[in-house]
Amino acid sequence: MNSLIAIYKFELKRILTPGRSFWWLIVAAFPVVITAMMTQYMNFSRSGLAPDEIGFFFTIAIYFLAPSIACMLGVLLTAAPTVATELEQHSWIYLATRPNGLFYLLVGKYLVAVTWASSATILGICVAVPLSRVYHKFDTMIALCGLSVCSAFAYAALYMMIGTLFHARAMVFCVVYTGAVELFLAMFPAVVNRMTIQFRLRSLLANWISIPEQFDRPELYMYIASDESAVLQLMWLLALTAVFLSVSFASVQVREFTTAAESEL
Amino acid sequence: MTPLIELKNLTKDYGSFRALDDVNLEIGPGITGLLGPNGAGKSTLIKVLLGLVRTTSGEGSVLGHSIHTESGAIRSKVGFMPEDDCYMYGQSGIESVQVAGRLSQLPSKEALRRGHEILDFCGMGQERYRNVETYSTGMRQKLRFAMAIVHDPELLILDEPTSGLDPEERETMLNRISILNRKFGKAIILCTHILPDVKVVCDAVTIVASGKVRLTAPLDELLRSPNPEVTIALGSDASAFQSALQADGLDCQLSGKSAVRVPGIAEDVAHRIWRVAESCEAVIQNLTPSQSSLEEVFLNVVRESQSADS
Repeated sequence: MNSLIAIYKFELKRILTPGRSFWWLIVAAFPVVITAMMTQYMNFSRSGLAPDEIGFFFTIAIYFLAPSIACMLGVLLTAAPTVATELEQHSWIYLATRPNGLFYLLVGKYLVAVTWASSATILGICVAVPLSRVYHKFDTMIALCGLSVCSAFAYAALYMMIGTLFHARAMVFCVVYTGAVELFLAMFPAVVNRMTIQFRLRSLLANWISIPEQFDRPELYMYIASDESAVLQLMWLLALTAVFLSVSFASVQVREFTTAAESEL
Repeated sequence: MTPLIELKNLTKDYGSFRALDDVNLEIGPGITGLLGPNGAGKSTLIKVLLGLVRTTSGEGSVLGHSIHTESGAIRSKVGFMPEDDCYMYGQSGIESVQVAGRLSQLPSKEALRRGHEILDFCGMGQERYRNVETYSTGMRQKLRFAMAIVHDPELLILDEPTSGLDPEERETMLNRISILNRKFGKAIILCTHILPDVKVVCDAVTIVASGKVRLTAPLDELLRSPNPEVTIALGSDASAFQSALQADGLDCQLSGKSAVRVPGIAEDVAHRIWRVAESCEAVIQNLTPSQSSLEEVFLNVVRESQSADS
């Protein structure tokens, strides 16, 4: 635990540089700016939508902007280069030669990535929801914040796994995987989309917010979200996270990289 | 003497490249110099000892722990100073050492206390509070050394600890290494290309070439000349002293104007030399047994290994 706290504090300090803080603000501001522009410029008066339907539209929009895109981007920036950064700075060997050093390094970096991304997203949600026309503001805010935390834990594990498996091109692989699986496949109306994090997050959203009557039809969203319980969705996310983290730990234990040059062997 | 490191028939392949080839090695307490040309397999050997790479075949133990199954126990008892330069960006020197200590299971306050103690030992003053990015080569070397010893390891593996240091800093670093062994009883493996360093601090030498251990021997045995002789330097003309030695039955030759060379092992002939010097009132400034040069030994071993391989 002592080692884990040391790594967590060390990584947290390393991430609180002016450059990284600027990116944190960008991630936090992203949903706020878009939501503010939507509220300001979109004209709903001629749409014939009821206020709860407009609120639902805003809820879905903020969900895509914050727990999905902003949170994904946040953990991508912090979790994906886990191994690459240490190899580049030659600090990998210092950590690898400590008892259980690699385990603590991965867990410490993982928790920092989750903290960094979820805090930015939560801030974004807390500002964006009051600015929007969301109907039940407080409940929606709580639900979206919860989804942000779930999203950060799951995506950080996913990107850490990709970063340990393909450390030389971690960012590229992460972006390609996100585009192909989490954005395209997750929207694909087939059973295979149930294996994605996005599907589980959407299902949680469907569980945690009130859906207007005309949209609350199983045939309308049977491939977009699951009508199973929130507990089951959380269990799915937990299982996916555990699998991704286990593969990451196994990968750093099995592979024999010690410096950037030698890892090419 | 129980060996601290014991390797038996150890082989390590990287794909089709054999980095270590049937290595059999025993390293005891004291300071052991690990020598070898570039690409000889020294780094791979160190990584095997630390459990950072898995062996293709063979057995081994470090401080009584198997390299295959107990790498965690080995890492908690071994300090490693890698050759690669390393920054822990955004940290001061003392914070870096503290993190290294905490990663080696020391509690936070104890790691900080040990960090200060070790940095004092390394001669690092107020600069310990500066960010490591601003450190000079010498200071970074000290910091790496401090991070390696902060958890009080039983065995230290130092990879090129004096490279890039000026002569004064180099001497100080060698002194520190020597103190750790003589005063604190740490076993040390010194991996270096600087042979004079080995001559100054090491008790034994292991030479690795082409993935094989070519030679392991105590340093004094290695430096013992095949044709032993003693060189006696005098403050004045040595011809009268030479005649006196010859009259005592010692076969000797003049070496320049003020020195005489006497064949034989120093322990055997020294008392006769001193007796003659006393009788003829000669002032001996220096009495030096002849030695092989370590460079010569090293080059011979490497050349022999190359010709054996070809």
